[in-house]
Amino acid sequence: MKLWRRRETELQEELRTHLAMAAQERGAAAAAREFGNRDLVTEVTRDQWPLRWLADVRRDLALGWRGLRRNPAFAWVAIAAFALAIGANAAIYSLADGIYFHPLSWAPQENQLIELFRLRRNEGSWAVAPAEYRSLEAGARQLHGAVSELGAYTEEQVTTSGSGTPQLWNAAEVSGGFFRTIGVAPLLGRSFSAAEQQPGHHVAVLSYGLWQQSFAGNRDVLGRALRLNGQLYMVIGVMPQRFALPVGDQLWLPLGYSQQQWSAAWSAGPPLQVIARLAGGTLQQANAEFKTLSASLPLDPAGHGGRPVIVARLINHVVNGTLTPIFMDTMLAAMGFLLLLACANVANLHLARASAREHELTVRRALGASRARIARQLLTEALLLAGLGGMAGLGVARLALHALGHAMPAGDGAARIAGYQSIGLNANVLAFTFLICLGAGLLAGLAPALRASSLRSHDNGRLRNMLLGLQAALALVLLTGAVLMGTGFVHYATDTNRFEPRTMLTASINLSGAGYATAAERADFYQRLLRGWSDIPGASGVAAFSASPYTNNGIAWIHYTLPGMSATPLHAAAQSVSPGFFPLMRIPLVAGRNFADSDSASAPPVAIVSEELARSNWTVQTAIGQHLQITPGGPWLTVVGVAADVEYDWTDNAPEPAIYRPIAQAPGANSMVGIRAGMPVAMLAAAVRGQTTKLDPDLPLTDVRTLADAIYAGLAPVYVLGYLISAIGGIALALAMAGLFGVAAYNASRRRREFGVRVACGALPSQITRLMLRQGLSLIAAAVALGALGALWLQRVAAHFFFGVHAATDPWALPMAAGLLAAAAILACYLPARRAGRADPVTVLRQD
Amino acid sequence: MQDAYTPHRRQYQNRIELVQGTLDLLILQTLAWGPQHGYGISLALRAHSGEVLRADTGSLYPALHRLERRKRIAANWEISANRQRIKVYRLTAVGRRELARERSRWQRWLAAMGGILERRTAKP
Repeated sequence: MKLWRRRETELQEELRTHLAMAAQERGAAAAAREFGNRDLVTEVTRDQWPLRWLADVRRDLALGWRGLRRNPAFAWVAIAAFALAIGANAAIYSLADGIYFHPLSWAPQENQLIELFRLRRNEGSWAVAPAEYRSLEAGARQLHGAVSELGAYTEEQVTTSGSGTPQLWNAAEVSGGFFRTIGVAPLLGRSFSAAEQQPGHHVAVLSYGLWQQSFAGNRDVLGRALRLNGQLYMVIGVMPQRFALPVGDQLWLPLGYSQQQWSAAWSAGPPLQVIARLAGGTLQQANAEFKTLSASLPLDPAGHGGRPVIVARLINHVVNGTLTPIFMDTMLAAMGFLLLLACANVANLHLARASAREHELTVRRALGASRARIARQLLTEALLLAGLGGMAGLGVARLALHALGHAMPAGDGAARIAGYQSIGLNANVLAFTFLICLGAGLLAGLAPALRASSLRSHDNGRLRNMLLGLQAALALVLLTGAVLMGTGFVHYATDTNRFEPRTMLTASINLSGAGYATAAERADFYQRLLRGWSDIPGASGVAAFSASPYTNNGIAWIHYTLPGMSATPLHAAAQSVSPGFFPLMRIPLVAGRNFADSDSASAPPVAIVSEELARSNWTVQTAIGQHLQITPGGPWLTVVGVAADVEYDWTDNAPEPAIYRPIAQAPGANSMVGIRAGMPVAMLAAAVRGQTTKLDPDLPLTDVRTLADAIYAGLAPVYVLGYLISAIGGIALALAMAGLFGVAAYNASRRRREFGVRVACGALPSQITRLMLRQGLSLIAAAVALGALGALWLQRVAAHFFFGVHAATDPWALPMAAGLLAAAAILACYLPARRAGRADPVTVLRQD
Repeated sequence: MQDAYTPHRRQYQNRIELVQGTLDLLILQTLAWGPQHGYGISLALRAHSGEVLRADTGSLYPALHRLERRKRIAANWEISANRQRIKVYRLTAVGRRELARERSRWQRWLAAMGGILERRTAKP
């Protein structure tokens, strides 16, 4: 910048000496005449300097800055509009970047990480049997080398015991190649050696979170002992903070399979998840190689296998399934709409200002500024506003992300979202923000620049009205989205309230540890546990069940067949419940009877089905006494009752067909226990812990919380999205209102003289006000008609994937949004209109 | 932006009746006789053309700065006889080669022009 100033002073000095020397020789007047217009000489000479455009940009920016300083109201409104829109965009983009685009950003070359799975003939299972993994590992080395590393893992839950209350942790047992494949070294210590992959080595690698939580981040954690499932393990390493594979796991243990376990076919051992790293080749090459390889894989005795191994990017697997489609379909569209709205808003402000600056611009044209020069100046000003707005927007985005972090429940919900830890204003987000600033600036500056550079500088307001209509239409679409989300919330809130979730305490137990290997042992334990909990003073109801309503992924799906049916099996959600479940959960039975204690393991197998299932196969009344089969070749269950529908998986927007079985006849390893009692929830929590420890001191009782909290944890993504959509709707409304107000005020000031004349001729102030209002509102009415088309379309689309949104049952969303917009519009028009009506004709006409 | 002239500027420049592109050659030639400041160059052009050619400041200075940017000429500040700081231009090695090239080109052009013009005037 110094260079420019020096060049400038030197040029001035050069011209001055030229003039002085000429004046000395032929007199000042002749010299000046010969010299000509000095400013023009300066200007054309400057044009020869290198990087001239940079200096021009700087000068334009300085000029624009001065203009903004002179007109702070305009500047603030424009910057605020940009800041809100760009901030919302940056926040949403950083969410999308963290969870959707780069959920594994902590791993080197995340795109090279792939997953191998094998489709089974009957099950939808994707995992690979240990024996198959062995063959794959050996085969991959002999092949052309599309894959450089291969690793396997299997997930399980382990119980820590010894000190304090037992806890349940998510652990992954990993093969030797696991950490090598991912390519991330431990933060502290080391990962497993080859020797430790042999059976009998009790070593563990901790996640950063577990290290912080259980060892307070102490560096001497290495070599310390950990009691897992009753056995002592030695801590040998700690992984870096963001490392999360499998997502949400806290602990890694060596797989440590024996030769016999490695040769296990599909049905014998727990299936393995297989990951690999591409070695330079493409996904297609790897797929082709593994297809050849899978032909030579051993068939397991159960007749599974025989299908090729398929390769897919690991990123696609870990992306959180619940949030993804909404992100892509809704949030990105909503943020685009919002940005467009803000651009229209600023363009309009700019146009109004350009009209007000007509005088200044005409003078500048007269003084020799080219049309391109003025257009460039206006464009630069818009870019400057977008830049300033973008900077403020990053602050807005930070605040928004912070607020969102608080809205998200800290527990399992967030930990199970891949990439959630990495959400933040990273380089990708900054680059994106820069680009949208540029785009928004150009878009907002284009109309005024074109207008200013065109010969016809007279402004008839049509462009401005069109931009305003666009704003109102976009705002209506966004508002409808917000209202739809809001009604979705209300729908959920009323629906979850029927379970009276605030007075019910739930907890999870896991019986996969020692002592509960057989069904009889588990059934017996559940019976004793329920009896123990019933002894708690004031207990009015106790029940065991597999999953709570609105659990989403927590519900297990099973196949079932009906007599005489040989075709594809049907799907249903499966619950193992104790007789107390239906009364405790306030789920009415619409037909038949409830389970009783007599429905024991030795009694005939029975089932209660949901209304949805009953209606799709029989009718509610004829369902009683029907039979269905869950395991092929297994016993036939007799339907003894029909229960009211319950929403388990809320993502599909419909209640599931469900099959309830007595827990005595189908005791799973995982169960939930619920209790209602006439005492505060905190006291009740202590009481149930006490009762459980009395039965088994090593059994962890996890997720002790009210049913309301449990439901909220599952619904959290919906709430987060709801906050976002509502915020976007609110911003849209504010922007549209500001735009309308600005245009109305401008129109009022432009027609001041006309109104003065009208009042002088006898028009009443209220008539002027009405005239102004009518003009503003007719514009809004047209925009609403246009926006309504978009909103109706949105509503139809939303019913497919917006949770709780039913197009048929939400006829009020659009009228509500339109009403809200109209109210805002009336408010925005009314103030300038009233001022226009109240103007004193004498003062107005005396001006100018 | 260096070639985007507004009507005003073009009008200003057209006042000099110099064949397009000859001003650079003339400046280089003037500087070949010795270093000179801007005013000196304009004086020399006028004097040596017998007051026929006149390069006004609106074309002279852009040309000087353009040639300087292209390293055909270099400039430094000196103190004149009457103790004024003046910017003095001189020819660089590149400029000297350019001058030789441009000069022969100009002479060929002149010869060609001359050939045509002589012929037409000789006929009648």
